[in-house]
Amino acid sequence: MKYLGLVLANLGRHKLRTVLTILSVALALFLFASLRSVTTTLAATAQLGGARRLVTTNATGIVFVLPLAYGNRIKALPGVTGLSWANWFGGRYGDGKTFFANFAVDAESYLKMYPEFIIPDDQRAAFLRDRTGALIGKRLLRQFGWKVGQNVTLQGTIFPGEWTFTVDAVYTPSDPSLGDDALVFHHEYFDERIGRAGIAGWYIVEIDDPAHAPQIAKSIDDMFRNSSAATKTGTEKEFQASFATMWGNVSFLMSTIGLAVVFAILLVTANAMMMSARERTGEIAVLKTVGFSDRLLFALIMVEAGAMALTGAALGLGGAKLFYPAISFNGAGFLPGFKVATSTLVVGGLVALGLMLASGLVPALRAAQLPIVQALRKVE
Amino acid sequence: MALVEIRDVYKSFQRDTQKIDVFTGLTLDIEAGSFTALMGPSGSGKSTLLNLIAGLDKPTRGSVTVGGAQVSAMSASQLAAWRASNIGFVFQSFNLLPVLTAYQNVELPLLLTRLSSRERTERVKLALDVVGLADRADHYPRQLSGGQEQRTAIARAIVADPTVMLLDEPTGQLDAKSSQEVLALLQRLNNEFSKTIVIVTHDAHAAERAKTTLHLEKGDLIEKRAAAGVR
Amino acid sequence: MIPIVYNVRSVVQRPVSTALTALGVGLVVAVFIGMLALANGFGAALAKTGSDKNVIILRKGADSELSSGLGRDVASLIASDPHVAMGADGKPLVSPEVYVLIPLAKSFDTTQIANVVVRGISEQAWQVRNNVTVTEGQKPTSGRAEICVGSRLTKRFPHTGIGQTLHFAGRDWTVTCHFTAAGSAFESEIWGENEQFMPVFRGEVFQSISFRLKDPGAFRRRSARCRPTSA
Repeated sequence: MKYLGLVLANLGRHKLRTVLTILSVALALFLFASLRSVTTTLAATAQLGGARRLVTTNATGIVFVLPLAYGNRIKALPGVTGLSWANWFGGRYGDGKTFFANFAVDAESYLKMYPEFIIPDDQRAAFLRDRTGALIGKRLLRQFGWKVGQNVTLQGTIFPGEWTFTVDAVYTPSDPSLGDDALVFHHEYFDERIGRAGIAGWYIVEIDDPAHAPQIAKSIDDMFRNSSAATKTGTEKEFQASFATMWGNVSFLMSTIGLAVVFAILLVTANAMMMSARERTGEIAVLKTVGFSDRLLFALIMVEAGAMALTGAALGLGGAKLFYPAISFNGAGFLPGFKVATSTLVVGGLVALGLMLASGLVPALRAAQLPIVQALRKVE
Repeated sequence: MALVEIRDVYKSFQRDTQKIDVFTGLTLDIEAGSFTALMGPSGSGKSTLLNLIAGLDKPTRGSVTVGGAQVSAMSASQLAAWRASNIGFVFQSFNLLPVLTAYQNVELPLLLTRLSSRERTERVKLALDVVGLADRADHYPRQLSGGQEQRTAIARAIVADPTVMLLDEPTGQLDAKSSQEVLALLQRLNNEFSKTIVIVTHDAHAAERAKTTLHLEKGDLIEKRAAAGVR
Repeated sequence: MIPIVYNVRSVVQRPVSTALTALGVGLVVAVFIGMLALANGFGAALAKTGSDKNVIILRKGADSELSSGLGRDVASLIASDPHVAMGADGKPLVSPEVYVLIPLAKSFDTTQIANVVVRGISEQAWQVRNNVTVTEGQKPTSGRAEICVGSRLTKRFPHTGIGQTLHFAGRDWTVTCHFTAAGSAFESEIWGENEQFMPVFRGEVFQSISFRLKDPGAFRRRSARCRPTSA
C-alpha cells in the first residue's frame, strides 16, 4: 500500500498515454461484452417456455397454415390440458420501418396459455369483450406513443388492406425473454375480414407433464401424417431454439470479431507498457541502487499494468452493463431481454486479467533482470 | 578494523572481444568517519571502485568488506536489502525520479523498511531539514535548481542512516556556487554527524574539502595524501 | 535525399515492439474490412439479384414476395400487356412465380435448420432472368417432380447432388441440375415447375410475376396502369 504513491506517479507520467490505453481496454471490453451478450441472449430465448407447452406447425414449412379442424382432434388426445392457436399477420404501422410481431389469436385460450403476460384485470376484460380490440406489449406504448383506448391502423401485407384496432390492454412479460413488443388481436375479426375461416398458423398445446412431451408430440404428428397438411410438433423451447439456430453463424462471427478486437487491444496495451518501461530503464537502475529488489520492481510494473487493465475493464464492462438497459435495447425485437449476464462480466474480468498479465509480463521481467551497472552507465 | 576493506581485488570487463583489466590486486582501507576523495584520470577505475563498495558490482577475485559484511560474496537479492540500509549513493546527474516530489524521492529508501508512515515522515522531514530544503518538499525535480536537486539526492542518500555515503562526481554538473553549497553540506555531514563519505571527483576544490585523498592510476593506488590540517 | 535508412534501422532495432504494433494495426484493419465486406456483400447480392430491365409485380400491400398472392387471371392479364417484351420464340417474356420457404437441415450439423427459398417457375423464367445459367445437368422436365438447385446450396445442404433426392412438402424431388446466377441471391434457391409446387404449397396462386420491359424507360407509365388492378 505504501508503494501506491509510486505506482500512481508512474501512471501519471504520461497522462495522455495512460488515459488512451485505459480507454482502449475499456472499448475492447465493451465490445466484447456486447457481442457475447448477443450469444447469451439467444441462448436464453432458447430456454423459454420449458416443456409445458408444445408448438405444432405445418411440416412443410412455417410459412404454411394448418386447418382449424385439427384443434379439436389435438385437444382430445390424452395428456393435453389446453389448446390455443395463432395466425401470423405481419402488419406494418406507419412507415413500416419499425418491425414488431403481430398476430391473430383465439384470445381467451391464448391468454390462459400464457400466464407470463401480466395484464391489469380491467384491461384484460376490455380486450376479451372487444372484437376489434388489441393487446399490446408495453414497449409498443413507448415506441409508437400509443395510449390505451386509442385506435391504431396497421397496413396488411399478407392480408392486404387497412386494419384498425382499439388498444384495449397492455401486457408486461414476467419473463423478459418473452419479448414485450407484440400486438395480438381476435381471430374472429381476422376470419371475418379475410372471408375464409378455418386456418391456424400454429397451435400451442398445453400438456399435463413435461415428461410426456415427446410422446404427445409424436401422437399429434402421427395423427396428421397422411393428411393434406402434415404437422411437426415440438416443445416451445425447441421451437424458439430453431429460430436461434438461424442466427447460427452469426454467433460464431460475433465471437470471432470479439476475440480479434480483444487481441488487437492486447497488443496496443502491451506496446504502451513496453514503451513506458523502455523510457525508465535509467530510473529502474537508480531504484535498484537505492535497494529495491528485482522482485519488488517486477511486482510494481505488474501492478501498473494491472491498474490500467482493471480500470479499463471496469469502465468497459460496467459501461456495457448500464448502457443497454438505459436505452432499452432489444435488437429491434430479435433479442428480447437483452442484458449483460453475470457470466459475461466474469469472463470479461478474466480477459482483463489475462490482458494485464500478458501486457505487463515482458516489461516487468525486463525490469527485474536489468543489470544495474550497465544501465547506470547509460544514464550518466 | 577499517569500515571498508578492499583486499587483493581484481576486476576486468569484457568489452566486445577485448578484455580490459581495471584492477589487478588492489588493496586499501577506508576508516569509519573519514571523508575520502578518490581522484585519478579517466579509466583509472574510480567509479568501478565505488560500485564495488556499494555492492553494485562484484570483483573477479578478492574481497570487499563493508562494516563487517562481505559484500563480494552476497547474492543479488541480499545485496539489494543490504544496500537499502547501508549505502547512500549520489550520482553526478542527480537521478531523481521526475514523477515524484522531492519529499517522495527522499522517502524512497524508507519504503523498503518496516517503518510506519508517521516514522517515515519524521525522517524525511529531518533529512530535508539537514540539507536545507524543508520548504521545497512538494516541488518536483523540474522545479528545482541543479544544486537543489543534488541536495535532495543527498537527503535521499542519508535518510536511511547508511553506514557509508558514496558520491560519484557530485559537483560535476553544478555551477561554482551550488558546488560550494554541496561540498559544505558534505563537510557538515562528516563533521557533525560523523558520516563516512567517499567521493569520486575531478574537482580539486572538492578534494580539498576531503580529509584524505586517494589517487588511482590504471587501477593502482598511487599515493594517499592526508589534507593539510583539518578544517 | 531522405535518409530512409535511418528510419528503417530505428524500426528494426526494436523488432518485438515493431512487430506487435504492425500486428495490432493489421488485426484492426482486418476486422474492419471484414465488417465492411459483410455489409457490402449483403448489398451487392441483393442488388445483383434485380435487373433494371425487368419489372416485378406483387400484390398491393405486400412487402415482399413471401406476403404476396396473385391469381392466374392476373398472370394472363399481364402477359397480354403491350409493355411486355417478346422473346425470340414470339412468346411474351413473363415469369409468374411461386415463392415459399421450407426448412432444410444443414450438412455439417443436421440439428441446424435453415429456411430455404423454393421458387416455382415456368419455361420463360430462364429467359426473363437472364443472369441465370445451368451449370450441370438438365432443366427439370415439365410434369415431373424435378428440381434445380442453386450453386450456393449444393455444399451446405445434403441430398442436393445431381440425381439425388430431396424430401420436402411430403414428396420426393429429384435434383436434375445446378445453376449459377452471377452471384445474386438466386444461387441460394431451389427452382422447380410452378405446376408441381402449387398443389403442395399454397394452391393456385403465384407470389410474384416478373416480366421484361419492351422499353425500360416506360416503367413509370406501366406502374400507373397497374394501380387499378386489385388482387
